[in-house]
Amino acid sequence: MIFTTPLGLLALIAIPAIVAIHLFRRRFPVRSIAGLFLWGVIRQTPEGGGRITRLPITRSLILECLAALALALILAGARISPAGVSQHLVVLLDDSASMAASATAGDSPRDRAVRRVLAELGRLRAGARITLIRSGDRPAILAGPASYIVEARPALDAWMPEAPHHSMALGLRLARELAGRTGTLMVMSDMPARAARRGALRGRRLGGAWRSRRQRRHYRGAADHRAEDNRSVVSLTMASNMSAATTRRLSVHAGDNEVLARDLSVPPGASSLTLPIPAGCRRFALRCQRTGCVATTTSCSRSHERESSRSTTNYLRGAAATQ
Amino acid sequence: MPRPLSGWRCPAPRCAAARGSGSARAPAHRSEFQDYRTYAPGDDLRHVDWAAYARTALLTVRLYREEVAPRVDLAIDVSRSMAVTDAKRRAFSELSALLACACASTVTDSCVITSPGTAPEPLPMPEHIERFLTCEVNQSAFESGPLPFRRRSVRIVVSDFLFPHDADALISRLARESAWLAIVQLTLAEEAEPVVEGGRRLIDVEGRGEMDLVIDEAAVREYRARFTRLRLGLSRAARRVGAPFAHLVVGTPLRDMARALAAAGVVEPA
Repeated sequence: MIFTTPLGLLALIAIPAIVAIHLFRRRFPVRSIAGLFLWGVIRQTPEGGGRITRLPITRSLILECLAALALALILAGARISPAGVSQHLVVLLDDSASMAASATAGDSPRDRAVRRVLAELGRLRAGARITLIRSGDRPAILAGPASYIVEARPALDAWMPEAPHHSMALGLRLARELAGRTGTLMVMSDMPARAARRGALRGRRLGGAWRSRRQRRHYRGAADHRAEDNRSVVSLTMASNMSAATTRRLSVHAGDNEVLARDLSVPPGASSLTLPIPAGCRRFALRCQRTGCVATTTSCSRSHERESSRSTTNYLRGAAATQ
Repeated sequence: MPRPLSGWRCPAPRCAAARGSGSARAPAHRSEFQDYRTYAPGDDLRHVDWAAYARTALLTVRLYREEVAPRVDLAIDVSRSMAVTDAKRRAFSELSALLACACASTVTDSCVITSPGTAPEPLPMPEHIERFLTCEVNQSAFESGPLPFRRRSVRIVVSDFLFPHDADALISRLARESAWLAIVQLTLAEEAEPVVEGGRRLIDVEGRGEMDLVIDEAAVREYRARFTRLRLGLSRAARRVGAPFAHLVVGTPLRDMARALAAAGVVEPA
């Protein structure tokens, strides 16, 4: 037997209360009489309270206890078997701002997460329930608990991750509570699943499925040819979610070598930056060594060194997310 | 027939008698003229047949049907309260048998009435009274509407009268258009004189409720006062209509019970 609302079991306290009432109730020997009305108007004040005697197992006691038990089970949402419970999907949505970062392709982790959740909803049976939780400083429930799918869709569509800080651990705790033993837990985040397990989920049973929506190459750019000076230039647009300007170290790596490094003062909001790329650097990676800023739009341009006039794709490996 | 049951009869109503001017003894409407009898001291002079006196110089009074061959209606309360204990059931049976025998000794036209809804049942043999003593009814026959008494009948009413009632209204209803009426109340000793028992759960056998009660001195005192008022109310109401009233207590030997009935005027030696 499972309980969807275990707190309802507190109603079982009524059973000992009923037993106590029956135990302390005054019980007099029964006497059948005729003409009860001759005794009827006598007012009496009991000389003392009831005394503890052997508890009589009466029909009234049994029925009252059964009624209290049934009420407690109803309040606790008791189910005989998990098969009788409709599916319950609990989705924890990473509410960090990095989920809203768009790549050049136009979609963001948030979009992919929404699509993935919608696809999951499509697979659920009719009558299934869903709970949407977004992480943040404090986890909050977007839809539910245990709402119908039609109720959850608008909340999912309206969800826009923008939290500068968030705690997946708190969100996971809430999600696991709501999922219970039978619900399915689904986590949508741009954190790698491995990192998440090493951090927030270390030493704990997840009790559900971890589904990371992170792409390793998250920020994607394309290099364009700029013929006049035969030099490569990277134009980078950054967005900071911090409230004040922060200092970040931006470095350009070609393979294992750091070919350029620059300390930047990243103002709050979006800012643009142009970095020269040393000649001969065909493939490179940008790395923001401190977290706190997220590249939202990137564009890279590089020199066309040889006969190829076609752009090649470069990848900007940004920070994973804000912390 | 056991000796205590025999030797008693119901007193014949004497319309010509001056005593007992109540409705139960002095019917307002005469029925059929039946016979003459010699004047006896105490007879009402209004019933003397003066024409016969002129012819014969003898004082004679007219006799009517209810005096010569009275019809007896024995109304018994067969509610559960009459069998609240085995002793009361037994005493009720004995009392009913005694009265049935008295009716049989008096006339041959005796009927038993147990409920308002059924017609009087003939009682050809005193032994037949037993089939009426079921005591499974939840309400006394005297609580509800008028009973199907026969007009100008001699009526003997047996009950414990342990139900809420207005004694005057009840007795008047029972005495209406009767030739004669007798009231017999049968109760247990503890119903009449309860004693201190301590806590009891009192359950009314006729389904009028139940109550937890500590039967202490005060409770007993109040109960006795109420019961006395009830009994005196019945007695006074019966006296107003000229009906004898007898209160019998369960446990009294049948012979003493018969004597008590005779002392009250309900029966008389045959």
